[in-house]
Amino acid sequence: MRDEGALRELYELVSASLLGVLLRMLGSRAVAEEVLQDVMVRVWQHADQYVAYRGRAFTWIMSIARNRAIDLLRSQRRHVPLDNAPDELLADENAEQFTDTTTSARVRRALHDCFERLTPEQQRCLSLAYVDGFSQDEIATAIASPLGTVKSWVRRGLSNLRRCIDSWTTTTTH
Amino acid sequence: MDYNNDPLIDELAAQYVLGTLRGPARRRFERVCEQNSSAMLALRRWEDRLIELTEAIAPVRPSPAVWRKIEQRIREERQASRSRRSTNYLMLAMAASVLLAIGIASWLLPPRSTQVPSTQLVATIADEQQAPLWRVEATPEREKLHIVTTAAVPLDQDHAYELWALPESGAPPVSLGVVPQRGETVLTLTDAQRRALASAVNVAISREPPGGSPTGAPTGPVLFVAPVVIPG
Repeated sequence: MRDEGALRELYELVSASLLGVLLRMLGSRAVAEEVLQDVMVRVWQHADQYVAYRGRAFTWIMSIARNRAIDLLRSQRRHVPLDNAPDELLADENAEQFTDTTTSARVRRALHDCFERLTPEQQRCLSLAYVDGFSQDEIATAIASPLGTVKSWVRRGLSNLRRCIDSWTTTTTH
Repeated sequence: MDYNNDPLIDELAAQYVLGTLRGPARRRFERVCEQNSSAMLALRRWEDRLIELTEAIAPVRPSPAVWRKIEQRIREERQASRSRRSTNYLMLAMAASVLLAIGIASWLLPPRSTQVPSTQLVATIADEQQAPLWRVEATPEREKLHIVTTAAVPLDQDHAYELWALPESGAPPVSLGVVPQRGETVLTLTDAQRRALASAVNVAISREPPGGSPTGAPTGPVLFVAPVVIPG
């Protein structure tokens, strides 16, 4: 069927990027691959929601993946990667990171630069949250800081990020 | 209430996307977004701001079994589904837009000489007075389209013109890309676009937001239609 072919082509493009993200958040390959299946089936079932979604397909798909992973996270003791480096055993050198070229290189660089301008503490907190799926409680434990301080770093970090990014970009969504 | 300017809603949207909003508060915010488009818009903006953080994460290729299981589940869903629709057109449209994201990159590159070897005419798109607007040519295998404008193309700073292949079967249009308003450009077609063009009887131009349709289907009015020249 043609639409399975379309789903397959999409899968070829985005699955490695999705699995990398899911693995960072969930830790277990088996669980991450299970969630990847759920995500692709959901994408196929809810393609009509994409049509209503005013944004890029990759962002939509990645949001589905991350939201599903967050729903599965439990606040248990989390293993803290000391320097946030990806697990070398899991990284696939031949897999290509999907690059959504509907965003210009200039905008993507701006996003990257804005993050780099945050304080180290703000970067660390946002990264542990977004990339590794830590709750604020878990972040506080992981970096041995009071919860109130972590919340403040997260709020300031988000607010600074917003101001910086918005000053760089015009409206990105139609 | 204008949630768009509500700092509390914006903060919740940020924490939702970041992942720090959990439990009942997360569910509550989901419901707010379902009911309020400004809140949903705030959410989408934060998704766009933070998505860049996924760039640095190493991709990992899934085991072959994953795709087989996905395929299996889709087939089970299709059998169980009460809908008689056998083809998920929206899936096609969405995938086309993702593939288009790849295709667009090639014409964003600085133009080499737009010299395309032995091109054939695919279509001449004209207005109601038969004045030619765009000339669409293709390489013999139709893997590249050479689009040339005439001075008669109406300039529209607020919109983009997008070219669509209209299949004979009445299936939904497939985007071939955004066409220039002045000068000329070369579009490299994906396999899906080539197939769509190969089975197309007509092509059409629609008016879209800058950058083209965000949905993979025409969102604006179809302005011009032209027949596809059968390759000789």
